[in-house]
Amino acid sequence: MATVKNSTGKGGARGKSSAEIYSFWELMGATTGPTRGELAHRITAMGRNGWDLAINLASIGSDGHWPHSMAVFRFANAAALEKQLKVGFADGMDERDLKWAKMKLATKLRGDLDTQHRSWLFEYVRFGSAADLAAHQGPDLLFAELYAPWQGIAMWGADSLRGLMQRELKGIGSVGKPGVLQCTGWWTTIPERVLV
Amino acid sequence: MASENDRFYLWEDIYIAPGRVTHYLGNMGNDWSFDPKLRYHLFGLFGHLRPMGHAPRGMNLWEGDWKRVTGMLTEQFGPKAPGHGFEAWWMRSNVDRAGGWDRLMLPGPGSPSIAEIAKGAPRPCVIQQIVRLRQGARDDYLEWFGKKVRPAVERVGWKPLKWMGAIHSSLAITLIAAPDWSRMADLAAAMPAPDPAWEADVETHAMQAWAGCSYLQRPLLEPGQSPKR
Repeated sequence: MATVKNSTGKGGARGKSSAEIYSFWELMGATTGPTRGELAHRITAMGRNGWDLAINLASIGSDGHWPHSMAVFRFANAAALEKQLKVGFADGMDERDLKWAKMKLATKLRGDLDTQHRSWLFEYVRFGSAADLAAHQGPDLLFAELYAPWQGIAMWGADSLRGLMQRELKGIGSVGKPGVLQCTGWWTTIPERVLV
Repeated sequence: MASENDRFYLWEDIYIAPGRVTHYLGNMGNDWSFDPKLRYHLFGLFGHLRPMGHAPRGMNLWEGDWKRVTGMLTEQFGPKAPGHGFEAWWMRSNVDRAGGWDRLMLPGPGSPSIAEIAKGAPRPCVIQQIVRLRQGARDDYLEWFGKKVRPAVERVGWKPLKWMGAIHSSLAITLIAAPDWSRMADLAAAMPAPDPAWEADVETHAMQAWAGCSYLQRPLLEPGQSPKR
């Protein structure tokens, strides 16, 4: 089963070599290739290659791509990221039959992974400035892209999909919030069994 | 007035087949399948790295001029198959790549040529940014990049290799390089923010250059010379 691991709290310090850096992954599988269970397995397997997995999520196809998984990996500091980059192309990832993959680097502006949270609204957001992004209120976790800090990732968590629904009904999400120029979001969850 | 001898760039984003990045880079970089007289610089070949990009993905950057590039395209799309092995190479290479998307790019003000870049230390570690801009903002962005970003990142050991604008869209692509990855955090701290009015929507990639890239060779290779293996 996927796990949720918390950070050591050294976030919100873009450009400081001691700050944690996060790598956000999207992996697009195929019903005729790697499915959600296989994607989760491949993500977890990166731990053997020195990647520190913080969270491993399946996207909810009803509000996103499918079969599609997300992962958040954590680098303790810039030196840990450098070590991984120096590995180059032979990083151990099983790429077979993936349709596409997308990765972003970001630093945390605020929040922490609540280990009780198993379902998340995941958003890519763009603001006019880094200050506008940092002032964004509401998400449980907020990250700024390392090299474009007016863009970021917002995460809104709940203990279950039902809990996420209840938060949605009360009103969550960045769409229409002050300063948001662009927002794309979708539901994700930590599966409770190995998915097809 | 623009001339057919003016420098410009072919930027190519390549959908690499799973597990084939290293093979793709060597196969692409060691081949020229057109009339040798048309040959222009293969500036660089790059593969995306997993922490930030689209792995497996590649990028080719060619530095040429209108005359030779159009000559190459005429061979590729003309009535007669090129007599220099292009179609055989294309078929042979399909195991490495499935497709891609390309852009014709003009250099931004001050963006150096490969000959100018080859005067400095080799820089195989590259941060690429694909910047989608509000209509009309592309040229302002490129001018700002040369005047503000270039000196700011050079102060922390990075060097812009290229800042280019797509001919037919409001798109800019920039490449900033270093000899190694040791100053990633310094680069993040040093990069100025663009004018919000330009509405910059940025994709950032970490890329590693193929060791045989022309821009890494010292002395610089002439088009047509084989790179070091």
